[in-house]
Amino acid sequence: MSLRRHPRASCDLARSVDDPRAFERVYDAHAQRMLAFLARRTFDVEAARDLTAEVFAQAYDGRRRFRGSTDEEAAAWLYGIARNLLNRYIRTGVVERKAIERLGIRVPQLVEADYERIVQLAGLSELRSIIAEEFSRLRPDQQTAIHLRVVEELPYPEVAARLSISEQTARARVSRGLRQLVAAVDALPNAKERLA
Amino acid sequence: MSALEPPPFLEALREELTRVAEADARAAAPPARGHRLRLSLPRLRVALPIAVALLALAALVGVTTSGLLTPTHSERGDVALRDNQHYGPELRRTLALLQREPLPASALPPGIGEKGAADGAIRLTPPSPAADVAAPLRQPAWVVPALQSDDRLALVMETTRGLAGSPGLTAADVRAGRARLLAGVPNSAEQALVGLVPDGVDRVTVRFADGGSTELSVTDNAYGATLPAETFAGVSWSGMDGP
Repeated sequence: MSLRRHPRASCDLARSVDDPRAFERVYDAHAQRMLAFLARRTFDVEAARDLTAEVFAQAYDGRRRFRGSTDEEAAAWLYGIARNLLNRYIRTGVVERKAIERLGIRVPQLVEADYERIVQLAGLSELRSIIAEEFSRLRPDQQTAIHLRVVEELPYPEVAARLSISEQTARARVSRGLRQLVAAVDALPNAKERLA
Repeated sequence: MSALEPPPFLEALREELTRVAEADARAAAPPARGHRLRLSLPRLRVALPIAVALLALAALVGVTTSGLLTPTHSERGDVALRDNQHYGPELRRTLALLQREPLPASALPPGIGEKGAADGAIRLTPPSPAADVAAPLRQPAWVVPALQSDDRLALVMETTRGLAGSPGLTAADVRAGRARLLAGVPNSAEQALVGLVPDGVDRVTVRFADGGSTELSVTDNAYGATLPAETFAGVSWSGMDGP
């Protein structure tokens, strides 16, 4: 009877429509890889944390819109959400938090161990030489903007003030530079298998 | 990579999602019962006439029920006004909502506003003269000036299918209970209801097709609820003008 009512409830994401607790299994299956995927593309542990939380919040909130029936389709749907959020983050420098706020999720604070393990999990150390090489190809103004924003973790208004440019220009410089770095990561051999 | 212990924050985030999921599961669960009721034919012969009689009695005397006969609903009412200079005097006399101080947070989102203006449903002048009204769960709604004149307003609601709206509502419509909007919630068996009431009304009664009813609180001239689809029959309050 259950199968007749829910012919597509053959994966945990589809099952979670009727049984919200099934979403825990979706989270368990994808959370670590999702975090690594986002950390490797943002190079920012806190942004990766916030994006991971928003991805799962949006997936939970919008699970009725999932039209697939397999775990593979569920993974593709999740990473589609992640890519959309990531693109918006790279474009604006701001992590969207709509679903987090709508659901009242309290995003956990990071502790020291989180920083270490996220760097390990994402293999950010391995990427260092590749990123360094790609970074050297960026325009000097992009390099400086990314250094101030990502390495020194300054807020955009301060980045803009240090460079004597508008905040919008500062965001654009960081965004374009990061996009170039992300493209380099995506172009790595086996990137798909290792990252997602 | 899999051999690594996961970052501690992932476990904390999991607990947060679990808390939300369990709350939803509890909300969706049927009321607890001591035992499962099995209906055999002889029992049905007795139970069915009793149930029909009770339903008829409830409809006859207009009993307000909050349990079995009343579809579940959720409500939230908060109102903020972005711009109060675009409404005529009669509307402003009827709805204190339109006289409140502007708040930037209630601006109509640019995408929604542009689409509404392009559709000819609303007037869009910068800054967006919108007030967000009682929002049924996850369905933001706004009051905006109507296209036709200052004496009319439009009630619009964002749904995942786009903008739904009741354009051209007058103060008389508000007093008669016609300033309301009912829109389907995509991919669910629910409808979102939002409506405006004149000053002085603090509760409204929502009637359902099965004869039941429920009361909703009014905040800043607005009420909102999420209802099971096809169950809404009307709304009323003490002292309202006839529809």
